[in-house]
Amino acid sequence: MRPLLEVSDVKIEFSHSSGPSTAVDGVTFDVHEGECVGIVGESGSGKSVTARSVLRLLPSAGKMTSGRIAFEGEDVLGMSELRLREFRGGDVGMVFQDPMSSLNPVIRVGPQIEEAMLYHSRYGGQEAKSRVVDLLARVQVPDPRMRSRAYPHQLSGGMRQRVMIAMAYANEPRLLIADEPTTALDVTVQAQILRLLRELGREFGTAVILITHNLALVADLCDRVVVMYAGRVVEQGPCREVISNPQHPYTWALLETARQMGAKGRKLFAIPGSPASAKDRIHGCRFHPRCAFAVDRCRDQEPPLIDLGGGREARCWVLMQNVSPDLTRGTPQ
Amino acid sequence: MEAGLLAFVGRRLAGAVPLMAVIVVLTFLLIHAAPGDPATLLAGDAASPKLIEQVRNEYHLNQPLVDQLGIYLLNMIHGNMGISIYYDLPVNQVILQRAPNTLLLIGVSLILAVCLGAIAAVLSVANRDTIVDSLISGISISGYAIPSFWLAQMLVIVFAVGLHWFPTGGMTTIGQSLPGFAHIEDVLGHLILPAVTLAVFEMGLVARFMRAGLLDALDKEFVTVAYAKGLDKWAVIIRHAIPNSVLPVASVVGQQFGVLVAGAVVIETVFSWPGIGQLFYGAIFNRDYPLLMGCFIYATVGVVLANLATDAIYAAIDPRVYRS
Amino acid sequence: MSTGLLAEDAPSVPTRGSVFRMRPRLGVSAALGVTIVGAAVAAALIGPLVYRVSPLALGASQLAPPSLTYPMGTDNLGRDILARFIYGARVSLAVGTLSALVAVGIGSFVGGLAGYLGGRADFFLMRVTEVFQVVPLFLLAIIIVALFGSGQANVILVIGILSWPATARIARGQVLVLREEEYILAAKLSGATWARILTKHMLPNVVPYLVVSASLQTGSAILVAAFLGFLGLGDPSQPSWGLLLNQGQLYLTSAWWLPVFPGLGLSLTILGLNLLGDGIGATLSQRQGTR
Repeated sequence: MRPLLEVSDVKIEFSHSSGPSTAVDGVTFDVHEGECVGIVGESGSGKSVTARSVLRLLPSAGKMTSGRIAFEGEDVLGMSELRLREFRGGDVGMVFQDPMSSLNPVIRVGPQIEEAMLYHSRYGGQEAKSRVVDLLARVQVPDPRMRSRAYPHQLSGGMRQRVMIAMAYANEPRLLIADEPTTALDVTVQAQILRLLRELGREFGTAVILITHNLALVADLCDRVVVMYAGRVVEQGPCREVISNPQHPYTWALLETARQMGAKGRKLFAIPGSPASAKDRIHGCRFHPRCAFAVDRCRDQEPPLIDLGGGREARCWVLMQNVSPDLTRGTPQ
Repeated sequence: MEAGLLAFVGRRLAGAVPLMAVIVVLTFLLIHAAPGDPATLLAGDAASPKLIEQVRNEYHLNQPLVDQLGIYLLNMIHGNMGISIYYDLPVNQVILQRAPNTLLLIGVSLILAVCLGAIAAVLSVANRDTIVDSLISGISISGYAIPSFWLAQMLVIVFAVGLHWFPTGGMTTIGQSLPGFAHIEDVLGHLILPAVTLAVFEMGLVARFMRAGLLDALDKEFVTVAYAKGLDKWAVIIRHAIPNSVLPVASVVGQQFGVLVAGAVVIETVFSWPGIGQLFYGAIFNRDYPLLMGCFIYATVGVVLANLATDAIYAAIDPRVYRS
Repeated sequence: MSTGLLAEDAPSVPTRGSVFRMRPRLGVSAALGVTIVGAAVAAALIGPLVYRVSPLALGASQLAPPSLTYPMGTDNLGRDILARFIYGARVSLAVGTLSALVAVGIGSFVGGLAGYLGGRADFFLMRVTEVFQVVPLFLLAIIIVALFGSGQANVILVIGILSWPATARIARGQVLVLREEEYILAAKLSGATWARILTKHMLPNVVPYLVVSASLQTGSAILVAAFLGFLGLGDPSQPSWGLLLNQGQLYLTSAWWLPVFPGLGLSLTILGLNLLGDGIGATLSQRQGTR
């Protein structure tokens, strides 16, 4: 079956006064109908930029220089203005990271949700308003009718994010992109929001792309995971398998860090150095300066994405095959 | 109106009263400290000392300054602002008769300025970094620099004298008393040049601030969200950017009221528009102290009220200001 | 948290035209400002030496339109308008600059002190500036000049004394920010007196903002002086631009060259000063790293 969303070898550049820089350097992945795909990476990995490019929401300094993004086979880049407006919010909904800045402070939340339906349905006046109340109830906002008349600053962070989710689901999209939806929220609220996203996804049959830096979140929610580093995909595959048996050292390192969060008494493991971004010019494998498993080849030649079968891929020469990590290794570059 | 808003306004009004009191006292002292004897002026060149003395008594001019101030303040509280030396009528009456004319002029100018300025700002932003943008910026900045009385002169030369489209001055055509609608038309015809002159200055300011406000708003995350919902550029500008850019404009315009009043003095003089500005100008040369004080106080009150209205509008638009 | 690329490299929104394209534009306006002001100053200083015609000399050909002999025409008394224009530039610029100096002088002192001392002194000074904000200053200027005399010194003082609050606010703002800087605290600890701190440490950092304020104040002072001159409240013996326009008022219908040229001079000069002030101000905020 054809995937709902196909991202093929996408490269995105940003222009600066000092010249262009690459943010995303050849990323490929698919999303099938109804499935949940997690895109994991640290800052600079290019995950947010990739996600925004699906809706063509790149800032003016950014440009997709090559590759293809197709939704149900239709080329997103080739869409006309009119079709693009249908597409955004209609076929694909998006939830952003910081609900406080994502909502217009001088407009009540109800009308902002109504606005999401503006270009996509023929709901008007009273009908639109009652639909908004319905949506708010669906995202578990108590007393939805009263809440819909509130201003953003009168709601708590969790509540605001629910409003954002309601906005994104207003037109029952086929795909929902959630860009770090819980990062700006309190820990206690994070779990609730994630559960909400999962339930809604199942209820509406919506495919979900969950973007996060936290691998643990993905483990719970997602069917498949795509791990990005420095503008490239370094590993992808079915979630459970990748997490139980990571093939790329970076994935492994992320898991180790996550695992250590809960454990006591063990030496804290942190990936040495700071995350690279696509514009850093690193020879060979982009992760090798921080990699605990690197060998000489890693420094000389960048590995391609190696197909490991069963829908799994990893971009690594070493592939975690019976190698013991050298944890003393890794100097910041 | 919400209770919160009313309380807010009430508080600000209360705060304004002591301010006004200080201003009144200081102005009184200032005006009376000036050289020149109003009694002599009033009585005329050929007046006898006895006549001058009579005038002096009538207007309490021979009493100590403090007493005069006291009498003035007392009267003021009762709504009596004295008698105009020149017109021989109560100051209140003289001013209030002319006030509507000035308010009409300032009101229409403000509306023109805000509308045109807003349009200029929106066009500028929608065509960002193009020639249109630069052109509009250039015109806005120039509008701020051009002395309004000179602009008035230029407009008169071109439109009144050259093209004969508009009259050169006054509020109505002399010697005619037109009925109903024709009268309104007549007044409007006389109003256009002065109002436009006054508006040009403000318009530049409005355009500049609104443009900055719009750009600021367009940079915000909720604009990206709006695009993600499928809105087009104009919908984004109108529904999201403009409401968030109104605030700096509102505060600027309110602050400008004092400048507008000053402009009105000059414009009314140039166009012979029968308003408070013209009254003020005349009162100076006639050493008409009561009228002078009266005009000045009314103008200051106007500015205070304008500031207050601005703050109230600000609070009404941005719910965060007073509700929390 | 996705900082990194997205936050530092690009504005988060599909606005047309990138931020980076704005820099050359600001440079243009500042350059324009400098050119215009430079031209005006040059005209004022060198003009009388180049164009040796007296602005006061009465002549036979009255109300003559612009021609080769009289590039800007003559007025009703046969006086050469170009000569009066050049002289007017001198007067207007002088009045404007001196008024601005008075305003900036008072304002920076008051504002700086208020910002530095804080507490009650600050509160009191802020109330005073509030009074100035509410009062229609131009009307007050008219009253004072009309009642107390319209000599040049008077005009300069009045404008200066009524305009200082704007500079005071700027100075105060800057001092408030600087007060918390570490090197100030260090200086205090090492026993420096407040006078020394103000002059040696703070002043150099405040001066650029004062320069901006001075430029804008000069522009507005010239404007106010012109208004006063136009209303007949300026110095009658000096042919300032405002006075020229006042004289031109009578001849709007017959001799357009009387009001046109002085007005153009005024507009351009004020525009130039505003552009200059804005330009410097923009460079300052860029240097600080704010967009």
